[in-house]
Amino acid sequence: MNGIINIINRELRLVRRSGYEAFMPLIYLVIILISFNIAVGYISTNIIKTIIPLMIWLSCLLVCVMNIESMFKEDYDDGSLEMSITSESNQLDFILGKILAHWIITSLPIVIFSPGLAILLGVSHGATSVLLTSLFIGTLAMSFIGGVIGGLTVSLKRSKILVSIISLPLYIPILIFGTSAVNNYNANLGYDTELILLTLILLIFLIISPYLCLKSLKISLD
Amino acid sequence: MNNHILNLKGISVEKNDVCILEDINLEIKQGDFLNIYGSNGAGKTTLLKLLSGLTEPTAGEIKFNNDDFMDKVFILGHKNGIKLNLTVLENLQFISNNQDIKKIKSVIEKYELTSKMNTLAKYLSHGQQKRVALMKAMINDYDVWLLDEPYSGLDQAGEEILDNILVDHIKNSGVVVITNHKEIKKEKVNIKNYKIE
Repeated sequence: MNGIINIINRELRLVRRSGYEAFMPLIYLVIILISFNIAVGYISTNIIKTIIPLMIWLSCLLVCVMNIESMFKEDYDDGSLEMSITSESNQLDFILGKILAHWIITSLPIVIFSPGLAILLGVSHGATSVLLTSLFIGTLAMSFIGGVIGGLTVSLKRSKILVSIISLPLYIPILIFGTSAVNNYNANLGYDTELILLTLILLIFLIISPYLCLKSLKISLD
Repeated sequence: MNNHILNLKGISVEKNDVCILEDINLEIKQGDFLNIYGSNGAGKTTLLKLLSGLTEPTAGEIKFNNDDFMDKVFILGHKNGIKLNLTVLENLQFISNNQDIKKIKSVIEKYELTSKMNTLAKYLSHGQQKRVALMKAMINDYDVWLLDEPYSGLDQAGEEILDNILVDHIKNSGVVVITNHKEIKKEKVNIKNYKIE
């Protein structure tokens, strides 16, 4: 556990020193949301209010996809990835620490920021709280899936499109359950099942993705 | 007494149907300073990766006589593996899970970088960055150091400091495996040269 906290602390300190980079996901999210709003501006306000949570979900998914590439890239470029993967006792701590740090840096700000944005755009408080819960679980699950994809593509030079092609199909179930939870709330239906299914996906990938990620990193470093 | 920690017998490595290493036989024991040399593309880095467990052989057998061997391996490739936006002290603290600060400071002193302890690594010279990377190995008590062309880019003073560090490690029953383009001999230590073609 110490090893995981240590990696998270290190990553947070590095982000603090990197300056503007920490705000990039948020800026990206706002730009996507504005673009969506412009694109669907001709639709009546009531419909827009219904689809805003879905737009936020889709925007978060796109931000997550865009950020996968950076998960292990810096460590690969500076040579520290080789060192961390070689020592058997630290391997899983390193991977878990990196995935969690990546989620805290790139996804947690948008999870925290999104409800404010939703309320600002006229979404009800109830729907916003469902959105917040589903985003919290969903983005964490996406980070664990992203870790495996990031590991597999870390040695490739221009991997953004490949990462998107691999990750988007895997993220679809998360998007379906996440948006269904909010939709069901808006339609006065139960949304517990969707949140439970999201949590199940998270738990499955929490268990298997560190091992898959280690294997994919070893393939990339070979 | 057989104090071999690692035996390689008839090791071959192929990638995409290209033979990179063929029939490598090697024994490594505690206190060895091994220099693997050969021309560009001879497979020196692949052999280091093989020893670190990052690459699997396509033929042959690797026998570890020590079950903990893989836990004690430190590999330093062409890049130094340090975070340029962290200070020397922070780089070492984070790699060592914040263990005893006194030990970290004593290692920094030994490597003659006390004055640079709170300097961001990006402001260090290439040789100084390499020393920081080697400090990681020392702080974490790695036994086996695998270093890919460690002398490249170092001036004479830097080479001397690196020599002293490596010799110290050998004297403490550690193992050093380096790659190089040529055979090397040092006064302070007996180096086993192993040529691959």
